[in-house]
Amino acid sequence: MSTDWNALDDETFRLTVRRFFEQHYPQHLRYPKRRLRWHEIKDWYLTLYRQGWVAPNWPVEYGGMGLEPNKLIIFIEEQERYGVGRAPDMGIVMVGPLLIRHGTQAQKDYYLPKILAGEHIWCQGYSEPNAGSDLASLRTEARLEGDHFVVNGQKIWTTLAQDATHIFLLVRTDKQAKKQEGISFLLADMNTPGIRVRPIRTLAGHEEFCEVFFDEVRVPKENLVGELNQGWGIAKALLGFERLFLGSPKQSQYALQRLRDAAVGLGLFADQGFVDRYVKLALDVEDLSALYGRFVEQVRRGEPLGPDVSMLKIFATETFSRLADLLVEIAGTAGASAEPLPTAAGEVDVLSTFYNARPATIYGGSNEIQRNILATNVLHLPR
Amino acid sequence: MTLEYLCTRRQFDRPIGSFQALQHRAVDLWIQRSLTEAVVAEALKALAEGVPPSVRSRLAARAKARASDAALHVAREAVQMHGAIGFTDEYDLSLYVQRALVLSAWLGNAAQQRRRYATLDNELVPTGER
Repeated sequence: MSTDWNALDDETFRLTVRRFFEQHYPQHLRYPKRRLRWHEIKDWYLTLYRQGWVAPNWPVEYGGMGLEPNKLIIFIEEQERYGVGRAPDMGIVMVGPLLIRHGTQAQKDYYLPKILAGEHIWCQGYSEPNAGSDLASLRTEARLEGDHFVVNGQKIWTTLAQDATHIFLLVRTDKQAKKQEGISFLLADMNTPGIRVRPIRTLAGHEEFCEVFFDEVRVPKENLVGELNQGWGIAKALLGFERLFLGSPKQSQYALQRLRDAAVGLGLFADQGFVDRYVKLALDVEDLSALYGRFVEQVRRGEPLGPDVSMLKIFATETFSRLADLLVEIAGTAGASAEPLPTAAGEVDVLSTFYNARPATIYGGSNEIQRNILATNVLHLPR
Repeated sequence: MTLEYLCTRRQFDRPIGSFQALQHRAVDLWIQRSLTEAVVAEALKALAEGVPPSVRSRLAARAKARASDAALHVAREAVQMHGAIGFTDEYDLSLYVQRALVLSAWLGNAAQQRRRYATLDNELVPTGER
């Protein structure tokens, strides 16, 4: 039986979600230091599935919770509060909403239930070696041959592609058109002959993303989403209010807590020089929360987010980065060690914070691109 | 005022506001302004709801710290982006720069407000460690 979650008052809903996480989410996976692999988080995904909570953002008719924006924000806030790790969720976050909006009936019937059940794990094939910030210049091409698209090219920075069963990708289907107008949106099974995945080891030593190669890969024509050459518009429309969560203060709040733990253990709160810097950062985190709160209110009122939300991502990730820097600094020689920092008050992990701060200012549109967006679309500075 | 100047002042046959080095700095100023707005709005809302005096003092210290820092940051950068005209008494920007200096220092500058905030918030700096 499905519950009308939106009918609950916010506080009841929050406590219901919180209690479920506390009772069912595995203790040892709280606040993971890196992205969890599918085999690590699969059980939790299936627990959510059995509870009917795996797709909080999808409409009820498709098996989601059908949460309205303010309830969805509460759900995500509680996930962050409890340190619930992110499962490979591209199917839930991207493919589901995409198909519900642009998919054919056959695509919805086939893919949506398998995403919910964790049978299909999706990865996102957008970036290419020569198409990062300038994504529209992508060159992986698909030519139509009878009932199939034949795909050739290469994707890169594909998060957890080694765990994925399927990939959604942007491909060039018209080389003559203006670059945004010759791109289509395709779905492909990772088991199709000609697809090869090579994991890439990150600076932090984990294999979080991959290269994906396509060599004469035959993708059935019915795997096209939307119209031919309309892929760019579809991909852009997917950037909904998920952008809000790139600017969540949770990451910085957690880093501040670590900084505090380390400083207590090292006796640094007796040092006014340190205290001044610490308080400045603590206020940055407080003020970030105030800024975040303003955008959350906007979403709650049902208003769409404008390009100004970019500033939230910039300030959130750069605050996080400054916190990581100070943590490394106070650790001294141990700041270069992968081992946790031993202090009088226990161990504090230093380097994973520093490592996690690096991609934060790059992914989801680098902070430089975000500044370009703000300069042009909000400040209206000339091009 | 500075945004307008960036759009109208031309050098090298283009408005100087089209240069990315200046655009990104302008964005950073605008972010500080927006942060100040958010913090002040949050403080005003709390005051209107009637919070205890200790919380009021904390909110005031926090808002003043952000506003003071942001004002001085914007003022300094505004002078720089205007170039030589920004350093003249005649140009209106001088009024704003002087005003920012005075208001930032008045009733405790940002550094003083942050120290005050730390003494008002028992949670922030662990006790027994100071």
